Amino acid sequence: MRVSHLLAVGQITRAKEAAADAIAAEPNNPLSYHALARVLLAQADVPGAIAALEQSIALAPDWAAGWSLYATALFRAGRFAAAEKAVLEALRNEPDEAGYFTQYGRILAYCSKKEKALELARRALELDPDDEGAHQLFAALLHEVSPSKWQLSEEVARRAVGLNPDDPDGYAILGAILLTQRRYDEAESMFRTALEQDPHHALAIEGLAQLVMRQHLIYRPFLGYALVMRRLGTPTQMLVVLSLWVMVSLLRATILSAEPGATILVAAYLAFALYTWFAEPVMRAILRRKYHWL
Amino acid sequence: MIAEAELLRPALGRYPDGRRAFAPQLPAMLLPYVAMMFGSAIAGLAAFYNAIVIRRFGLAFLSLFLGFATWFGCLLGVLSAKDAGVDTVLLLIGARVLHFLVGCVFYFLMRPHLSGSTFLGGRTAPVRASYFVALAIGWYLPFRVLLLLLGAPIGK
Repeated sequence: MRVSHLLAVGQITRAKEAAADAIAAEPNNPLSYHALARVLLAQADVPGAIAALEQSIALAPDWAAGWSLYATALFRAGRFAAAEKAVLEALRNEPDEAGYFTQYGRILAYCSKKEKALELARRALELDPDDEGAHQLFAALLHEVSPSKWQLSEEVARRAVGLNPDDPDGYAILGAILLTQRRYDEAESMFRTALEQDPHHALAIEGLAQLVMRQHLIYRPFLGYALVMRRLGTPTQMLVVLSLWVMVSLLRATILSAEPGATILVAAYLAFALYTWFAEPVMRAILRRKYHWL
Repeated sequence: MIAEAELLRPALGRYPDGRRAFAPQLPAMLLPYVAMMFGSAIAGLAAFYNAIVIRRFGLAFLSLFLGFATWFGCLLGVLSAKDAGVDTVLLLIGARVLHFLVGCVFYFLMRPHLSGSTFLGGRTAPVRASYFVALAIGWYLPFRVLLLLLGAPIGK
């Protein structure tokens, strides 16, 4: 407790001394090593923290909090597989603790297992709808994972909005849920609220684009492509554009060297490349035609 | 929805531990592009460098072997196909596609390692600058040299 207080007020050196004193007084108390590990993590001494936590776990192998902190230390050391094993041990000992699901989700999210991470965040929210960390993780992943592959109850989403009415993520997520239920007017209202708080909110803009695509088939190819490019990000967009340039050059030098094929090819490529680069502003322009408040 | 048992099954069993690179690494996303532009051997060398700076020597030599084996296989294939009268245009397209696919293999091999190095504070060369340098090199490189690098010495 003393170590926790000293850490909370930033007295790290004194916290370390207190932890060392605790270990000297009770060398078989796992809490003492746990406290030392927390201090060492605050000092960025990750190998030292791992060693202390191994002592703690050896003394209390069924203590979930020990395994959880061990997972944190291993993750910070870049030992992702070992961190996963440790957090799974924490979950084995305390299977209904939302925080451990969130922790596991964060590890997997970093290692690009985003669908499973999203599912873990959803599970954390089921266990504790007030878990802000789970809400943040869920919101962060939602944009990257297809909405058709996740499920979150409307109740939990409304709870998130109630917990933090100034967070645009909550409104955007609720909007996405309402969209899947074809409640378009309510969905639009949620996306509008999110965009009023953050005019560049990615999920809300994507939600509006999905709304337009569902209601107007003619916009589907333009908005669909723009959404894909937006999700890929700039480096992948460059890869697409430059790879196409290579293929176009090859075709121009070989099969399509004669006119008017070569000119048509170049014109098509330029139009495609420009649309790839400017997909975002074009998407916004299309959305503004429909939603004048944007 | 994923079942509970599946949710708690380990997913990172073969995920490599992060190691901080002692020099800037080339972006993983560059590798398929380098392979398509300059051949698998060059992409293999780039992957070899990325692996060496994180002291993954097995991965380094695997990259080198894969790159040069693909180049050599492509060379043999192109020469045989050329003797059989296959159109040189198709040979070049086929060679590029093959190298691109191998470049994608390099990308998936390297991605977790680069991610781990970045996590621990390792540096990566800027993506855009790297692409433009590769583009410039490809523009100015003599065509014969390019064909040789692609393992497709089919003449003009």
